[in-house]
Amino acid sequence: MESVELKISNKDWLYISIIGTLFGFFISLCFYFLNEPFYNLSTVVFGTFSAFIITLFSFIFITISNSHILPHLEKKYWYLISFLFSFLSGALGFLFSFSVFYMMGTPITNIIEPYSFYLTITVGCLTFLIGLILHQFISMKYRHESIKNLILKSKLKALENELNPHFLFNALNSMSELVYQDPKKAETSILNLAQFLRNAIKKESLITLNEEIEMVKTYVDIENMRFDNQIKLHISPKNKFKNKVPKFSIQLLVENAIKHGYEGKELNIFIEVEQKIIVYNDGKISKNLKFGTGLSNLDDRLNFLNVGKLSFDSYERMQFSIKFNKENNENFSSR
Amino acid sequence: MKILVVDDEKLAGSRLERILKELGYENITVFNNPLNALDNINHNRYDLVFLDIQMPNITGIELANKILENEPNTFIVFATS
Repeated sequence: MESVELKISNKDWLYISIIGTLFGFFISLCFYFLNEPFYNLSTVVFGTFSAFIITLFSFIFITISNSHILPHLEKKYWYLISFLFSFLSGALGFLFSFSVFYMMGTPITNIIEPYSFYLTITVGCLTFLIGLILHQFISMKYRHESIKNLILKSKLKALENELNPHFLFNALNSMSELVYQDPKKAETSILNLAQFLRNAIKKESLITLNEEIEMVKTYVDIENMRFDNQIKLHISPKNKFKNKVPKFSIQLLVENAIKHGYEGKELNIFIEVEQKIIVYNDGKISKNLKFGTGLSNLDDRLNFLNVGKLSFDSYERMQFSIKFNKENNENFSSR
Repeated sequence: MKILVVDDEKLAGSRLERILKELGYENITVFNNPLNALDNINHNRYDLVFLDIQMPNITGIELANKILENEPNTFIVFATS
């Protein structure tokens, strides 16, 4: 896992540069108004420029330190190295700015020249202190994000693990009878179930649409053992799709179609993939279907994984659709 | 003892029938279509009935009520997941 303590994004650096430069501007403005010898435009320009250069030096030094030095050291040395690099950023940044303005002969550099050494040390220490405060804020933000991600991942895993135990119970019961009636068929069914469970324990939350459709075929083969081959699956088009969907998403819709649509005769289930995935059947229509545990679970997973939204229509037939989010929709393609 | 088994899943019905036969019961009738079972119970009486609950067209509970209307002393066992 990436270390939260050492993570500073480019966006963070942009904010640090803006805050640092503004900090320099206002500090120099104080000097400009409070002390007569500093009542010169070069004071403000020098202060702002120095602050900007210090943030630039900090960006270079801290990035080198966080990426190449600290990860290889024990944590107890981190503060010492960070102090050294922050101090160097401030001190060298100040010296550089001072040298540039000194060569230009600005009034401010003439005033502070006798104190330049002490000022360099002071600015170095100040840079470390300001860096320490900013670092606390940034790491707090990343810790918060990291905890949020962990919670989200564990929620997702919990939802994935809610595999319908009824399905397993029914399948195993049917297999126990098939062993007596048709051992060859029983073997095929057990292998199908093993294949299905193999996919259930896969770590990935998102799988390709093609893999999901193959899983649905295995699932229907298992269910047909119970329903006497009366469940017919129709998939169109036959393309192989690259898009990713939550594991067992279409399977759940097919399971739902069998559970609510089967009327003791042939049930045709259609899966159509266009700009969205549509699953419908020619079985019984339930007008007042409410999203139970399974469908709510699927809707939550589509939402967590930022895939899309689940919708339901029972006007002419029982139909479920997974409408992809914009970014997924743009990537929708076949190969 | 006359036993009736009603389960829309063929394998579940025949599994129960096999187990009952192994236990020594011989007079067993199995229906996979609950509507056929409904028609049958109007002309026959059973001592023990095994019913699945969720079935197409008529549920096991509805079927149980019909059986008890005709024969209130029938023993009914719901065999369901």
